[in-house]
Amino acid sequence: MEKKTGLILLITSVFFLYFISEACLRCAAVANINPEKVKLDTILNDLPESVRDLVTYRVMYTDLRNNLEKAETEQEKLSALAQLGDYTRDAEEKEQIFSRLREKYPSAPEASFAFVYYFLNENNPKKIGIPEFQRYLNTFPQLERYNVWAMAINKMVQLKLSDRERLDFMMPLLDMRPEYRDYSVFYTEMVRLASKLGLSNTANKADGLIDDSRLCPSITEVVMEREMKAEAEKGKKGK
Amino acid sequence: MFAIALLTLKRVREPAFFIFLGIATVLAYTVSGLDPISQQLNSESIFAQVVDAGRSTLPLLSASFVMFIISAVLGGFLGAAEIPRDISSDLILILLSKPIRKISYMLGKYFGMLVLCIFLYVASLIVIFLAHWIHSGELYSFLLMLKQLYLILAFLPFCGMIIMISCYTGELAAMVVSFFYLIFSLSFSFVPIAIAMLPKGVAGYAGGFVFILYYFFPNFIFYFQDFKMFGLVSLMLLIYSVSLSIIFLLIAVGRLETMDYSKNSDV
Repeated sequence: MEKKTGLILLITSVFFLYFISEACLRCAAVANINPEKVKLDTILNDLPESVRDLVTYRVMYTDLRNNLEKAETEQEKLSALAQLGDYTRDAEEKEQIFSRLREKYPSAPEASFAFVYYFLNENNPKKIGIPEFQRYLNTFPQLERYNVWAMAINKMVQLKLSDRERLDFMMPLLDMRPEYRDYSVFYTEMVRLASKLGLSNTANKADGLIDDSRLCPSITEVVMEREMKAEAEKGKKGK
Repeated sequence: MFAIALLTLKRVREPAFFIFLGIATVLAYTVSGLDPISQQLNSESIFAQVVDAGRSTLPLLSASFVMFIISAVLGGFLGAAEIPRDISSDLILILLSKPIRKISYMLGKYFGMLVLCIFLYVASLIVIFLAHWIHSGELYSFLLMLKQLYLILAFLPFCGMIIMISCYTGELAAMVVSFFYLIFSLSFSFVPIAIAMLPKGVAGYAGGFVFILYYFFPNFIFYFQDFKMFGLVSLMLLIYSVSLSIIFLLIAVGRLETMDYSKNSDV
């Protein structure tokens, strides 16, 4: 009995000393660091890989949450909310954000993240099929539509859908006249897929549209031009 | 206990020890010309700032740092095989049939291994100091040489860790597991410092979880940090080393007390 009590006393005191000394040494080590000299990337690089991923996620997540709180206009709020929904690993939170975006702001380009999330999502009762998604795509002008196309095609690649299914999904692109150079990427992909599947008519039509789209301005050019015009107008009003 | 320690120290006569000592001294001579460790690192890195915070004028030499690691690895290789070899050769049964308690046996092994590691490290330091004297014509200051000896404290938990692991595994496995445990320990050493540097609230539950994991490993970064020669940090370093060693040794004793030696015998 005495031996047991002695052992318990020894273990308790040893652990007590260990935690006290560890805490003191940790404080001393942290006090050695000048926070102004340390960058976030440096801190993350010093963490073990498994921990780094976890902490990077928390940093990014907090950043996105802060962005949402700081957002002033409705567009900023929607954009921050969509980014948060896309980034979060919490399935419940993701569903909540995307469901809200889809139901309340279906016409906002920022809500496209939500539509892409539900697109071909077999495990979700609110799944969006190909025809419905194609109808959704047509609600946007070509400038906004480009990103939605790109996200949807990427999702199909991630889901490892067949070449035929991907090509069928992209078919509406053949019925429109491209207004931006960026669309040539989709037509190039269509030519590749159609040639692989032996659909020469589709391949030729897409090839022709590659040439058409290359004569158009790029989305970045157009957006920059618009922004410059808006700034110039702001300047005029200010005067 | 003393007799068991002497038994371990008899390994000094083995050719393997001479080979390790030779490797250590040659390496010590090779790295003796390196600048202090703080000048070798990117000043923005956390490690560089922990090592050199301008608190002390006595820097940790890169050569000492390298030789500490080399001595730990070589000493670890020698020490990790001690207990598993005694068990597989049934020597432990003979020893424990004498009036020797298991705790004395284990402490003997621990101190034997500690002396081997310290011997390798001190021999390397002597070579480093002599090489500096030969090259520059002057000796390092006494306090600077004394500062390098602080790393000896790190051998206390290190040897305890090796002894603990070797109570659970075979000869080769003990070496491999010890090596990986050491790597994980070094990797996790940055965790509390890095988390303390993160913006508030960022680490969250992840930080708590990582901290729990962190407590399963000794933090060797503490031994390399910049501190005044005689102060609170050096006292805490001593308490940390001793308490951690006792924790490791208690786990090892627990294992020795409950072990069925006949099952592990090769005879």
